[in-house]
Amino acid sequence: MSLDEYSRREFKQVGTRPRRPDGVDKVTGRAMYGADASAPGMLVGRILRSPHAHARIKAIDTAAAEALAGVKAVITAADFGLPDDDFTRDVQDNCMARGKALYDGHAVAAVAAVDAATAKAALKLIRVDYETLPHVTDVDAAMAPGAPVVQEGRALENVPAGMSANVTSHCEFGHGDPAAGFARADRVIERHFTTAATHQGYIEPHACLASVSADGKADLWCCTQGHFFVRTLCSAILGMEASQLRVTASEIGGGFGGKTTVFIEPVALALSRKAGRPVKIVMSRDEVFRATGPTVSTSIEVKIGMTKDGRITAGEAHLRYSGGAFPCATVEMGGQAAFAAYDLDHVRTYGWNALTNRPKEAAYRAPGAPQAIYAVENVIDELCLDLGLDPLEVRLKNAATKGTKSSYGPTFPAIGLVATLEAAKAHPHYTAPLAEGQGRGLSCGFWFNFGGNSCVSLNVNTDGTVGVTEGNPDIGGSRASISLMAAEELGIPYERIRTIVADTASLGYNDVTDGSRVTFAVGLATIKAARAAIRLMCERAAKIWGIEADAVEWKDGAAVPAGPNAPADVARRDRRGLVRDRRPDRRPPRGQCRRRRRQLWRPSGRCRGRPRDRGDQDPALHDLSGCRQGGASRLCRGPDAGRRGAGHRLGAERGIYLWRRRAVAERGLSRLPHPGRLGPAEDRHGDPGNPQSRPSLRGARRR
Amino acid sequence: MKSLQVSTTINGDAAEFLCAPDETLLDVLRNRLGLTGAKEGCGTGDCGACSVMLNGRLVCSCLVLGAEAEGAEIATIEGLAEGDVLHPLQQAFIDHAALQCGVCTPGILVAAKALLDRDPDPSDEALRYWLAGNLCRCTGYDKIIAAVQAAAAEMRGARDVA
Ligand code: FES
Ligand code: FES
Repeated sequence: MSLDEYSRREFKQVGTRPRRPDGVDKVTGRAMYGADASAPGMLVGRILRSPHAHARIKAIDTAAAEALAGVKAVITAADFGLPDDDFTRDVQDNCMARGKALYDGHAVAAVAAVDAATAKAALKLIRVDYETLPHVTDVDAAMAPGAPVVQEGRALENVPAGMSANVTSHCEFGHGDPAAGFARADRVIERHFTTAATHQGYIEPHACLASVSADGKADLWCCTQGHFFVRTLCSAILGMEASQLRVTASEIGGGFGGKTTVFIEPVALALSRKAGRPVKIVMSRDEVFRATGPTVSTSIEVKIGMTKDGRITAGEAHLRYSGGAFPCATVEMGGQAAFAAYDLDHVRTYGWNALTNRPKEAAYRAPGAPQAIYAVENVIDELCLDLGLDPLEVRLKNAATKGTKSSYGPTFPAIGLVATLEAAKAHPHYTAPLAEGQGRGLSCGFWFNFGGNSCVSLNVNTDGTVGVTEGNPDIGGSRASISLMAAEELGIPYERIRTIVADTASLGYNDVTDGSRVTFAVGLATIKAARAAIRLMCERAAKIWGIEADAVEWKDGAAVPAGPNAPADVARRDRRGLVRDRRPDRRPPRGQCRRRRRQLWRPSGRCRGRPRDRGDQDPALHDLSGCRQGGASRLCRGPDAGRRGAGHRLGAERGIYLWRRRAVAERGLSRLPHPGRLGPAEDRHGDPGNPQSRPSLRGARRR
Repeated sequence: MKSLQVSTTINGDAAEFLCAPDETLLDVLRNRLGLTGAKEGCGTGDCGACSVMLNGRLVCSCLVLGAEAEGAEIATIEGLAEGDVLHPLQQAFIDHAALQCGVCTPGILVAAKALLDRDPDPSDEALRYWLAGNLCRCTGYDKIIAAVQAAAAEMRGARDVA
């Protein structure tokens, strides 16, 4: 299936605005978020956090807390193993400090107790012996010689020798010779910008409920953007097999990237394992701000040269990012995105990441890009102002387009920046008069998109409705989008599809809901699944009808014989997609009443096929047996199709099911015959005289 | 700490519970009574996700003690719909896509109803001012305001007819 070829298509469902499937639950308070689950025997988990921005943990004495009545488990870093890959170890160390507290709010111990008051009291009884250390929270200060070292030995080989030990990585992107470009400019502006480590600020604090049983099987309920990734991280940290940890994603109360990792989940699992009871941890807002990932903090210099007529001659940026107390590659995104919107001959970005005593960065809406783009766009605006140029025209003049060698390397295929700018220019908002106190501006941005791993299961139910199972938490209405795409492909109404987000044990691996990938990638998987289901249903219908598979086509939610290979006598359909049977022997003799002639077109087919003299009582079954290639839409209809007129909608499964049920009832079969095991067409039609040689119910009834 | 026994009426039904003297009404509703529709977004009276009605007044239940509810009439999001018939506000929120993640929605609905009960025809400004204590991170407030105004119009229409 080639999904990347664009062809204009008239959509029936995509583009409509149906009601979202999670709407009613969310307006009635029924929707279950992270903190809304509970379990029998559940304990309350609480986390003790460092009051110091940087401190060596010399000892932790938990004895008094453990001795408090109602306390069922106390854990510290000593209760976790030591993962050998850096990435997992950093995630674990961020969840529970090992050796040093690296920021104010860093978890150092946790308790599980019978209630919140006991848990709170137990935290007060834990004695942590800290040796406070000098700290650094500003990225430029962290890169200066002599800065307090947050973590030793974390620099990659690409960091030039002699830099502060806090610098963990360096990157460089670009092409051409910026110095030569600046020399050709009429005006060069260089500015310095800083941005703070702002928090994603979702309204729902992190929450989870973990339950580890004595045989090592575990269940975890949590609000996350990616429960499969939660499983990967938690099983690695807890030293368990992924198959033994089932993670269920709750409804999610906002994430904006910040719920793409774990903070409390491994802690709750470790507490539950130790206590032998379910443990629920709900962060307070204070904990969210102190100990979950904000975006990077940055310090950025941008230098841009421009000619009088608005052509950018060169651009250069120095990006210094900090992702908090752990190494972080986000600056590479900033380095790639900074100038990517423009077609430049001379461009260079240099990036550094430095450790600071701040919480570990988590993704936040195009991580690292807005900061760099903000700096670049500001300088471009200032150049426009200086040179008296229109900011939109300048951007049009420099816009990257198909064939542009991007500032980060690849050559762009067809992209839409020029068209977007033209549309903005043509929009009335761009020229509408401004009231006092109003302003207007524009900027260009850039972000990557990717597909990632997606798994979708699509099932046709016995009543012809459809269940779609996907594995990506719905953060912005994706269940509605996925349902729409399935409805579009299958040709059935949106309302007849229910899309759910399944737990990690119920579906193949899915990457996190991030990078704007879900509607796109899960949508593609859904389309593939729908097309596969259609193919299967058509194949089954072909077998039952005894015609070639390629003579069956899916149309408006039903399998119908069609195409050049369809038997000519059933290939004509009326406007409802129903087959008109034109075989001469099926036509009522001329002169017969018009009503009877009309009945030829009726979906119930009551008069269709052989009349009563063949002893046929059930027209819905008649075509199955009596017509070699007949019964075009018959199997796709329930027995009440004629009455409701809708039975020819998606229902091959249902039709087959009904047929099999009747077979049992009327042929006295002990088991349902399997439609796929009807045998080759010759068997069924080879000896019309022998009722046993056909999937014929007529023969059976005659007996 | 010794637990206190509290008798209240919640969404029209008598409800009794035990709670610690320092336990918030929000914790009682969520953890003791299973009414998890009200959410805790902050616990400090800043976000409005925990909004409920207490004796006809809109309160942040994270700032009310469970013990203070003795003898009180409480209304929560769980009581807004009548059976399976959604309140016009609830329907309008769905129709106008006035929710995204939905975690702020119960609080906003309770708060909006409190306003419409007092003023069936609020100006946008009055509405925005009233809902200023309810933070939404996802949706954008315009759709929320549009939804409340649509519901208000519908409710006024219904009232005129009645
Ligand atoms: S939880 Fe009560 S106002 Fe935020
Ligand atoms: S819809 Fe997410 S906070 Fe309002």
